[in-house]
Amino acid sequence: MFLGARILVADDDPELLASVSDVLEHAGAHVVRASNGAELVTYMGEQGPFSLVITDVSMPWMSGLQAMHSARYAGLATPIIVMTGLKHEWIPEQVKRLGHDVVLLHKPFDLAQLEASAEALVGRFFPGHVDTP
Amino acid sequence: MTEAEDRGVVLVVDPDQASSCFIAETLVRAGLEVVVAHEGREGYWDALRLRPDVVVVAAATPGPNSASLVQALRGRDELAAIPIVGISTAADGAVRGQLLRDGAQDCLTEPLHAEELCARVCNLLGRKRAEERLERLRHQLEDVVAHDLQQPINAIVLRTDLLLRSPLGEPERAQIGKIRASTMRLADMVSELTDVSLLESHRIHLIRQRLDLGRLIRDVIERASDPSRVVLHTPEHPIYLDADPVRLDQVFLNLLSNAAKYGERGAPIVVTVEATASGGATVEVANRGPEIPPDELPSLFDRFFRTRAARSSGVYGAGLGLYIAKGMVQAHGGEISVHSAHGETRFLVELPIAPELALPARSLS
Repeated sequence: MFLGARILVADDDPELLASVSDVLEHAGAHVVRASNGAELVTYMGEQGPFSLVITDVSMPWMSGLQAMHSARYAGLATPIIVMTGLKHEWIPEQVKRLGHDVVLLHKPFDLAQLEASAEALVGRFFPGHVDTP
Repeated sequence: MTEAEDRGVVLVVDPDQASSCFIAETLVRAGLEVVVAHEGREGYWDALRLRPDVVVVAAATPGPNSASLVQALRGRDELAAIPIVGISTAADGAVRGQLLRDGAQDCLTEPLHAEELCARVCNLLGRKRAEERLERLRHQLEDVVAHDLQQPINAIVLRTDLLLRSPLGEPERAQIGKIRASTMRLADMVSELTDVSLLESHRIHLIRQRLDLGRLIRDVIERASDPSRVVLHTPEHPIYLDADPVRLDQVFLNLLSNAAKYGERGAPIVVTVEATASGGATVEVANRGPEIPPDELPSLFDRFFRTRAARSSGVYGAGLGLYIAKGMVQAHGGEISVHSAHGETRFLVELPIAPELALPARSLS
């Protein structure tokens, strides 16, 4: 489904990071894993470009949203999935401010929701990367 | 915390120039920041604007009197936790009683003594600060629980979904399906508890947008467990509301789900959407089936309440669905009510056109 897509996944929970990454790798993506905000920013610069960034909100060193706002400020237009288990009203507002090609995914989400969001964004941004069966 | 918050802000509502000066000077000398209003309505607006730490109200406040000012302050959720000290003459025992009944924490009698005034205001301020610290700790704990519990739940859901796609025998598939169902139930419980904590700490912030209520209801019905049972009556013209679609969705999905679970099996569920003369709307969800006993009706929207029928039905529930629904409707400035008689149960949701921003005119006029 995501053959050839390069996806950067960031979450400070090792189990969830592994689960999301395994699911995407299973679907054919090449996944780079970041376990905090600092790694997320570093890998975006050093190992990009990525077809998609999937990030948690609350992470040590720098929140996923701060990292993504910095990325947008630097001109990076990569599609983003923001995952969160928090229900704060500022999260949807901040996510909206990231502009186009952004999806907010509330935890817990299932495989179908993750795939649908990723497919919609990766397909729109890098049509060639989606290998629809 | 800002310097002003550290020092504590006291709003003094007193028509008497000499008395208000004395109170203000005394409290300023004690290191507090003081704002003075000379009339009830002015005091009310100052309280809304400044969110003071303590309000001192003289019984002789003109216009809306001190008792109605205390009632008005207590009537606003965002002001309800602010401690109030009433001041009256020694002869006004009845007035002091009224102030305390209306929600003032303490009362002082004139002539005032500077030390007593400071001690009483500072005691209330200290108690408020301690409550605020506890509240902050509670929020932090809830955030940690909400966030940290969702992580392993999410990991289990993704892993089981992945497993369900692999070649499996039917018994294994059934077992994994059950693990998944239990995990989703756990996720719902965590989500409900998070909503309850947000509602109870007044941290529900609606993300309002202009929406077509009929369309929202149609979307909810499509996702209900048995959409074919639902009969929808909605006006031809759209009803636009300024509301949070996610939260209203949650309310109506809960009502439809209850109607399907506890109503007569297979009987139609009738949903009626109507515009009101004031520009708001009502939505009624009605089902045929066993009535809710009259002694259970008053508790139906209480936290953790489950009817005897629900408890013996084997249907899972924590008794939080209607409590959350009521909280969400009230957050919109609306009301939810239930009528159950003659083999029919009807839930009525009343929603205003816009958030209630007006002064509580009845208590201040």
